[in-house]
Amino acid sequence: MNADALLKSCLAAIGLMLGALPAGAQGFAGLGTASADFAQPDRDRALQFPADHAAHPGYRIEWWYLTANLTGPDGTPMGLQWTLFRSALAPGGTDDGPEQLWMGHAAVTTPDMHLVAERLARGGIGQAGVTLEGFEAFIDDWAMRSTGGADPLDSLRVSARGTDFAYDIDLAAQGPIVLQGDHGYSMKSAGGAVSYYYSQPFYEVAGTVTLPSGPVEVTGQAWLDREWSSQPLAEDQTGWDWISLHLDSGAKLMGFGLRSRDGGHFTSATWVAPSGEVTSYGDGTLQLEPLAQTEVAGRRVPTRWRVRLPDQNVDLEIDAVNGDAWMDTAFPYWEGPVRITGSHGGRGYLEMTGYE
Amino acid sequence: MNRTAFLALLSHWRRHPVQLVTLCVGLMLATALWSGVQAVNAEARASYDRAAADLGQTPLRRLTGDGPVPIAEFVALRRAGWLVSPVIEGDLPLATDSLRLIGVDPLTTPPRPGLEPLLEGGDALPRFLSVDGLMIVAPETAPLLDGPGLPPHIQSAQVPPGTALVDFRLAQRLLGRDGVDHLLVAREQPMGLPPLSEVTDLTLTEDQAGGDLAQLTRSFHLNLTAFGLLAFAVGLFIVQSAIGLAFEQRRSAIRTLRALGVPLRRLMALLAAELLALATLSGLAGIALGYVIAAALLPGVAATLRGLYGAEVSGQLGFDPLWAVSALAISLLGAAAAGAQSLWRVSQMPILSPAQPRAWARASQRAILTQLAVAVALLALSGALAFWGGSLVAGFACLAALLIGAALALPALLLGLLALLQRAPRGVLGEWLLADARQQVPPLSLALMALLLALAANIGVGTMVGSFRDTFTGWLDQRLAAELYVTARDPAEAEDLRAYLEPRADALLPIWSVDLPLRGAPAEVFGIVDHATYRDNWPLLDAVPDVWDRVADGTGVLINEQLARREDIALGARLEITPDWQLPVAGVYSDYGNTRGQAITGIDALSQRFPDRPRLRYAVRLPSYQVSEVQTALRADFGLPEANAIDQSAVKRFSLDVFDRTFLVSEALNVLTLGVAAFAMLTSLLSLSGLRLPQLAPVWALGLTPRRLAIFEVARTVLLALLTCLLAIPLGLALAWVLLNIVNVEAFGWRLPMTLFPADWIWLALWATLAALAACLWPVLRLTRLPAADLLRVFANER
Amino acid sequence: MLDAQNLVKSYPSAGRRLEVLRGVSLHMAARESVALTGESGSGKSTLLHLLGCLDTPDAGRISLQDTVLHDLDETGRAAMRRSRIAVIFQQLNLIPSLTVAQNLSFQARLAERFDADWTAELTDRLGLADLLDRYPEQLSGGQQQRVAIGRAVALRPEVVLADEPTGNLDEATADTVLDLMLDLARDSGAAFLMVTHSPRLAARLDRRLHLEKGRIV
Repeated sequence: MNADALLKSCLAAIGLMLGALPAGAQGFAGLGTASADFAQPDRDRALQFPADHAAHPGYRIEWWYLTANLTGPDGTPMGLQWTLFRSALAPGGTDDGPEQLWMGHAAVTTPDMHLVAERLARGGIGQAGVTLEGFEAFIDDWAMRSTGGADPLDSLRVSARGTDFAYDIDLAAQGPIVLQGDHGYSMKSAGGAVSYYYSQPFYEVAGTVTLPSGPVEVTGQAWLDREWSSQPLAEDQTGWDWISLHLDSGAKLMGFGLRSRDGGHFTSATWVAPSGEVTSYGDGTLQLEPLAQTEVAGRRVPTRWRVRLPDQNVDLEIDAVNGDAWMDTAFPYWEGPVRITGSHGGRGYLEMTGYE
Repeated sequence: MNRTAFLALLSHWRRHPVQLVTLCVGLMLATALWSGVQAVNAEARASYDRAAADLGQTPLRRLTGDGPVPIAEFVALRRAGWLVSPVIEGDLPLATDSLRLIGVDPLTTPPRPGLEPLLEGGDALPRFLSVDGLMIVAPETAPLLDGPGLPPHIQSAQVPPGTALVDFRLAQRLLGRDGVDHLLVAREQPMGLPPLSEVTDLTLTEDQAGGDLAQLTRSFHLNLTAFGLLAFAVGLFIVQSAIGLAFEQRRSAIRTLRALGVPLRRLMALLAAELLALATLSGLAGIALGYVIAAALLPGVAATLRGLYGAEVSGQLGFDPLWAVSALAISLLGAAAAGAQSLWRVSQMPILSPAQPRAWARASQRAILTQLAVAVALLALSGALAFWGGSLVAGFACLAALLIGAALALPALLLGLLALLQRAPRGVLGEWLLADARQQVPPLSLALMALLLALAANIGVGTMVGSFRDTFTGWLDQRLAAELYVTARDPAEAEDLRAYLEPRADALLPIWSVDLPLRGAPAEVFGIVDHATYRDNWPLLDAVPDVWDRVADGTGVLINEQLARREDIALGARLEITPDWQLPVAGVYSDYGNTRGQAITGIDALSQRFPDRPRLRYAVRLPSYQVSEVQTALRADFGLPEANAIDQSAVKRFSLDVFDRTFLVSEALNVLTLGVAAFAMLTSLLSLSGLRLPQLAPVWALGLTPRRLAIFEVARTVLLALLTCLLAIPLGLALAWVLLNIVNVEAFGWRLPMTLFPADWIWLALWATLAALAACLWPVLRLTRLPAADLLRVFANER
Repeated sequence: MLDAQNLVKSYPSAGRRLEVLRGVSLHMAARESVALTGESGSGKSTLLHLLGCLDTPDAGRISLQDTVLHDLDETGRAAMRRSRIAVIFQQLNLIPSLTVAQNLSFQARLAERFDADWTAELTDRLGLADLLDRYPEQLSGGQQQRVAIGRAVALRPEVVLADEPTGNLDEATADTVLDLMLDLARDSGAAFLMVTHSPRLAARLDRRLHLEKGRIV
């Protein structure tokens, strides 16, 4: 057994976040299992910044999720991911308690490469965590650190490395934080599965990505998602398809579809005008239609989609920059940059989980 | 022609199914015992490799400090990007045993066998990480852990027995320690890291301990292999007699076939093909049986290895195709060796030789004398090796020459003994009994040799083990002089215990130790206080006059016998304990059952050099009538687990228990070898029973009932077995002498006095009688049921 | 003395029973010598085996003096063989592991009737004095048969039964052996029954019985 397999299985055991679970488990990664002893989102509680940038240990799961669409000096499109997941092994944990389990995922995607690294750590010993004072989310030497601004997230430096890649990039927010769903209260099913969810989609990026061939200066756009919950999925939901799109017009589109075991699709979308003005759309407005599949890691994953949001006259086709953007991590999933054609041009990120 | 000739040859087996069964079973048993032992050896070797990987030893580098490595150091290295993972190890005392705790961090550890249950989903990992904790232990360890106060456990066959894999935080808590022992450094590190020297003061070491177990246990496996070979040889006796008989009985068929124009070469090829087919079938069956035997033996072997070497071998057997192939090969080779002689005889047989079977395998007087001459030469060689050998290989060669020589001398010796018996006054039937016994010695000699070897091995190994046990018991009495042994769970408790015990005990003797390499091999260094307990009792083999003063003031060191012998360290030689600490050797003490080096010096000297070692153990001297009272008080007042305050008798019981388990395998193999020898005798007797008819029919005709004939047959077989047993006693003692004085010294590094156990010999004589009875039961039953017509036919016509 | 009435004996053979003796009766007086002749398979040996307590008849009666033989069990038959009836076979009479001397005295000692003088006399008359320490395999066929005769007579049995005792010997040797046998049987007072297919040898005995297809004719 190799190290990978061990890590994988460690996580499979926890039922942390993403990817496939053995048959019979609830939802993917156990996210659909009942979680009464954990804190539950409350529609009336308004999000508060910067306090809510920190960890919410009373909730079962949480993430700091950054995706970036970058371009090298020769115009090569590139994707970058930096994610810190938190999972509470038991309810009632403290901010930095030993019952917190942390997981970092980092990836760099080019049209012909997809490089991934993963880190695991326990809470309570200083190996991983999130500090609000001088904001930093970290695991080992991977960090997302505030470099100034009115809000800690306005200006960030993000770094990570694996055996065959490394990156170090600076982010500067060009617009406001966006609250998803109903002021940050994001419905994930008709039956009431729900999470807190906000984003910062307006980052301009500059920095260095080191590939096996050497360092490359990059620029581009990035999108940070923050989400925490105790049961983000209903018990019959098996996976999700999620997009974050930077349109050439300056508008941003976040959308997701949650697939049910019975074949149903619960969709949700947020339209962010270039000004930062937000329009949320509930179930059914966003239409996601898979067009083509790629065989990756022994399974078929839809890597080309038709995305329609008629209310905003949006009718797009998104296509993976690299169909092989498989995250071969403890919980495997697909995550990679996409090109956009159709009613709008642009680029963005696609994430798909729960494909067996 | 081939087909017809082949069928003609094969038809023999249809008429003699017992012979066929004998041949196949003999080969199967030989293969089974040999391959079984090989499988056990292979599994043990695999376990060592696993243990080496398991301890993160061979391939992985580790970071260590002068003392415990703080967790902060681990985190600092991780935050600098270095992929390192903490490991802490220690012994947790249990009621009768101690449990080896290996604390790891499942989230950062390099792959490690045994953690698989955490990977299977479910709640194992959260429980493993939780405050309550979870232990992963081998199935055989699980029953030891049912006491209160221990974390819950799950099982994995990948964990070495006696070991528990736990989260490092739990290990720290259970062992009462801060920090960890070392950090494992992952082989692959991220790109662009700062140099380690800039990040940490810990030192990076390549681990050298990987080959130790293989080294230490080599002699044990050589031992097992020798046993396997012995069993194989005994099995081949069976095969050879069966093949020989079959070829003899087919002489007429072979002659006829040749007269009908089948070329000799073709005939030989057919016979060889037949042998190959039979050997293949029997070999396959033998492999299956060998696997079963190995699976049955393995737990015992594991206990032995653990008791002797502290080497952890899993009690579960894997299946290696390579092993099966090699076992089949050895089976074919054995059949070829056993059949070669018979094939050669067929090739030499003139076409017109008489078709009547001649008395098969009946060696002439001269053959027996030739054999005796070879035997004497071998015994002389054995003696020479015993006195001038001086290595483990020479020791085993000496054993081999001794055993083969004695076996070859057996027929001559038996004839001599029977001749002596014939001088004693006896009745007419006694006369006949002895005369017939003499006549049976040559044809039975192979089976009797097998019996001799099995019995001698029994006596030899029994004497060795018994001597060892006697010495060990006496040595325990000396060494375990203190009445009570107390282990604290943490340094603070140790201090409290000391304060509590000091006024109550006659003396409180700290037992503090450090694991260190001595002369490059893993060893322990103990520090002791100056006390009469040591001066009066310690089992010194050799010492300078003021040995205890030298030890007490830290100007001398005691070493155990094995270290002295292995490194050839004489009194007065300087022993380097650490690079800047050398002491002259002031004494050598016996330290049975331990294969590692050990040294003892004054406690002050030791604690000065190693101030950070936890000091948790004490030997307590107090009047024996107070022992249980103090034990009870310790449990009540300190909540000390039972296992942490053990009295002397419990330790002795435990030690002897370990000792006995250690030699279970030898006993099992003894019984198996004896069983095979009995089977060899059975086959020989069965083969002979056809030839016996002309010898018995006249006696029957002269007025002996078949029942009385049967009684005499049994008596004769038992007589031969008992005489063989009589000869096996001196041979067994010689074997024991070689084992104790040559093999043990070379293999383990200790010399033991030899003790005789005559009562065991009587038991063995009983066993030999039983084996002989079992072997002759069937042939004799067949005899008693023989119709008169069959007996009468002997006299009638030319057969 | 030895009396047999209506002896019937059959053996299983190739799936059916082969009737070997179909009602044979004979009577022998003490010191009488009788030749039993007949074709191969006529039942001569079988009859001898029944008379010698080596086998049991299916029907019929046998008695020796006052002893009824036909319904003895194996122990009783063995006792008869041991002490009252001696049998000499065509070959392999001797115990291979014992010397000539031991073979000669074996049966008499077994019956606890060993007479050293008588045995010494027999040894002399049989010309075995120089062969006493030899083993049977070291003797010629004639020598072996002489030892067998000596052993039988040394017992002083009531009946001596011989089954083609000279069948494997050349004519001259056979004559010598037969002479010895008749002399000794007479001197020991035993009745003597000999199976032979040789009319020449049969003619030298007191009386001759001929068996044909299981009946005396």
